[in-house]
Amino acid sequence: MDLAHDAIIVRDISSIILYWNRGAEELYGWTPQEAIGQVAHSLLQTRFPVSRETVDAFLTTGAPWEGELVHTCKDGRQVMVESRQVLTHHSHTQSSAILEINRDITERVQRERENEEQYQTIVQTANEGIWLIDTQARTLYINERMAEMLGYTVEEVVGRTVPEFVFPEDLPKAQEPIGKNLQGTFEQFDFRFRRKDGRPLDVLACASPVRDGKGGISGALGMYTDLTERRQAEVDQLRLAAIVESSDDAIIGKTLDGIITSWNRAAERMFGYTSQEAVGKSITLIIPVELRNEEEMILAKLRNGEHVDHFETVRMRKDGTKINISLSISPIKNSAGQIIGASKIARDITESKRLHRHLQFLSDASKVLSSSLDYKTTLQTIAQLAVPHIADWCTIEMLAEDGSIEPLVIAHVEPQKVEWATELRKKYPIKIDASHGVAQVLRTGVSELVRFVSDDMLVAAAVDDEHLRLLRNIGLTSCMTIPLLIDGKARGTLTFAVAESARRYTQADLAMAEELASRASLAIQNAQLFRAVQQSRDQLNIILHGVADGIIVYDAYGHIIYANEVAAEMTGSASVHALMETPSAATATRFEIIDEQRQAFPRSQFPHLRVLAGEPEAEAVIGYKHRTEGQLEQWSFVKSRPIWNELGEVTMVVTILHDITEWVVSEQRKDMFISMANHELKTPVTSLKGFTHVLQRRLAKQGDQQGLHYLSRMDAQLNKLTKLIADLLDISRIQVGKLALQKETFYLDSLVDEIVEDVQAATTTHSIVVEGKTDTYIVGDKDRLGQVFINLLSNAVKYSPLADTVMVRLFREGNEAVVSVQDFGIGIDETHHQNIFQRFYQVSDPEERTYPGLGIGLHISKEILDRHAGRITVKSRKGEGATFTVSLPLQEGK
Amino acid sequence: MQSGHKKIVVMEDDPDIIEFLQVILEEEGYAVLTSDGDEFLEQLHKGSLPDLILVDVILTGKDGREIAKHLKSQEETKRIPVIMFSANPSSEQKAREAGADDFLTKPFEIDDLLAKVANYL
Repeated sequence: MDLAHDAIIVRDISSIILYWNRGAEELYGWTPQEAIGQVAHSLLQTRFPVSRETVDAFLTTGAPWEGELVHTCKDGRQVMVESRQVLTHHSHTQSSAILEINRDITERVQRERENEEQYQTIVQTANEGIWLIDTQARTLYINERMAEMLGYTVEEVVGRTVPEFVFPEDLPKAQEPIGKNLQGTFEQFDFRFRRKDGRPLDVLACASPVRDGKGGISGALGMYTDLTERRQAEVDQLRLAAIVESSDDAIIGKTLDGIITSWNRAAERMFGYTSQEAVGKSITLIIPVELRNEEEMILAKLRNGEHVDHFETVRMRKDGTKINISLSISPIKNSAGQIIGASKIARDITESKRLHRHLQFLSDASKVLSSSLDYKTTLQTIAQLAVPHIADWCTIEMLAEDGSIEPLVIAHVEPQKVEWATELRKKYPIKIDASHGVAQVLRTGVSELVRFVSDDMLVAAAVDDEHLRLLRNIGLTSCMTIPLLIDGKARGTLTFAVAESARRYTQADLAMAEELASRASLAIQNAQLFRAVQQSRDQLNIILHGVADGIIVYDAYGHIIYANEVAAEMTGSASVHALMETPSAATATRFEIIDEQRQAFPRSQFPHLRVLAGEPEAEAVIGYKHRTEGQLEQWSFVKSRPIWNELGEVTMVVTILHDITEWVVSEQRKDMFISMANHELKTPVTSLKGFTHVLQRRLAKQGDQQGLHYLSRMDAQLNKLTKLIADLLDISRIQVGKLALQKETFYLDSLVDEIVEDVQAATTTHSIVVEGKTDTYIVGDKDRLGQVFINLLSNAVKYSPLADTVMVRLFREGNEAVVSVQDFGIGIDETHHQNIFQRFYQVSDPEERTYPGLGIGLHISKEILDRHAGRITVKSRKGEGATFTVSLPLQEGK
Repeated sequence: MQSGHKKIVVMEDDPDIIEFLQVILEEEGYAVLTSDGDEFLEQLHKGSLPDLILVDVILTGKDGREIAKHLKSQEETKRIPVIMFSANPSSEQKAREAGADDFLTKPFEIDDLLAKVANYL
């Protein structure tokens, strides 16, 4: 044992240092003089793995203690030492001491720690999953990457066995090598794990057995590589190769010098060279001489890293024929990003050009079809469009009413040929029963495509030798006939034929022609339908414009969707357009909208808005008062009705405005007339009564009794006249609906008493007897109801000249207050009962002629009661007097 | 009913009515001023205010109710009783709304008129 570098320290059982060798001085920095006598663990600030007491206690057993300690040197540096300590006895001093040999292991530990960290870093940052298992395949360790690949956390995996994570189907595939691996062999195998999310994880496993120090196997270490991406890349690679090979586009690789490096099957087909023939040659192989410059330009662009997209050009086949192609060329870069070549995708656009022409034709034809409603003109235009791009000849036949086939149009680029063909048609019209061509298509409604017109066909079709000669002369090579189906029936045919050009019609051409025919058919149907709709719309428009009433149709949101001119005029709009664009504004600037009482018309009360708010029907009288022209007014009777859909929702509101201006004006005039007549008639009566009064006073002073009597008769007659005037005016008012009521609450019995008193005062022949009471308050026009009682009492007196009593009875019956007036006079025959309340009705039999009157009092009375929700009835028989009964509803709660 | 020299203004445009009213009212002992409405304001400003005014609802070119309204809106005249008359019985409500203290329908009984006049004087 080389002790030279070890620190050897002897200390007594109290840890006082007794000996300190040179090694200790070198390690810790203190000289023996400095160290001896000090307490060892204080001097060295010893850090024990366990407590100092435990170590000391262990030493007393006599066994040596070994362990690692950390000491602090004189210069403050910390060192790690491997310490061996043992208790010894000094026989001559009979004392015990502890021998301590400490070896500096700081550097070694440091190195080991660095190694460990490096190792950890490698393991943790490895792109491979690392998985350490014991002999039972239980997880001892996995790295983050492995856990990540599996979709678990490290903690979730540790302790579980590898097979638990293997995709069930791959378990046999994985278990065998793992088993062998744990027997001690190195294994490389692939299988699938099942990720936490259930997806498979393709891995390549490289597993080495792990041996313990004694040569046994303690487990295995697996390195797992994620193959998912690699697999995907392989699949992609295969797929790409397949795409390139199977592509209809020619895909060619070339170097920047223009040397062909790859050549797919489509390129073989398109250009006629095999891959072997083309690869290694210059691309000029397929470039026409006149276009060599073009290739130089393309290569220059590629060297700059630019793409060439959809460049349309011409290339040459092996057989020398030219081909229209569209080129897309991309630079190929190596992994360093340098451009090393180009990939060239060529597409044969001969077909696409044809398709393009078809589409162009269809689009042009569609424009023509939608531009006119005259389908005959339209079809002619289409036939003209078809030649010569789609066909050399284009003819359209229509089935006439009588079942014959009528040629509508024959088109060819040369007019004289058209003339000639028209003549031919006249001479040899199409036979309706022919088993081919137009007749057949019209019969079956199925298109006919003849790719190659053979001479046999011409022979079969020809009527005679001359016909055959002419048909041969035309030289048709290919043709197709398509039905024009209208309402499911073939009503015409569209025929395209090729003669001069070497073209052959294919299914694609037929499809295009059928598409055209169906568009044309649709256009014809639309035209017919549109004409019908237009006709009925025109009719409707004429009606709507012709009516004198304004008509406005609103949608469910109250926006105007239709209005006629009358409506615009009546609502004060400059035009229908103005009304529809700015309905309220147009009106508001010029008109003040008023109701019958001449108050501003509340917007919410407009009939159409009320209907939109849910009313089944609404009407109103609306006045439009010119703001600028002062008093000028227009009046409308406006009525709105909803239009419901099948769900019962209001979808539209139709409003009718009926101009009632004239009616309103004439009503106003009548009103004014009545008012003026009233004034004009009553003013002279007023004067007459006044002067009568003056005269009465004079005569009274003179004591002229006779004169006074005459004057009182005059006054009575004036009162009668006054009443007649009032009645006549009331009749007029009733007639125009202007009998105004001044309603108030009053006590009915008082009114009756008052009237009875007045009438009694004017009659000397009868006594009016009042019985009972109603004890009722009535809401009504006191004067008007008074007028009713005056009428009844006057009549009672008038028609009972031989009686001396009139009975007035007051009572309640049910919800009514009743006043009856009974006389004992001539009575009224029952045949008249229905009529006596009618205006101007006179009971006309010889006897009653002696009782003249205008026949308006009862009529006015009835009208007044109608306006009070009351009734007037009569009970009478001829010769037995009459009882008139007035019933008035009691007020609620009274 | 005698009443010294109470002054009554009669505003009416029918000369006959004016005449008999003047005769009757003067016989009753009232001082009567008649007007067709035009000089009405001037009369008022002469300083001697009437004790009662009779106004026809319909005056030529004027609305009697406007006159009533005016009278009832002026501090110096608003306490003067105003009786209106009209051939149209339905004018009563509007006349009262305009400020009339009483109303008579034409043609009226002279006794009724005199009773109403006396009532306010």
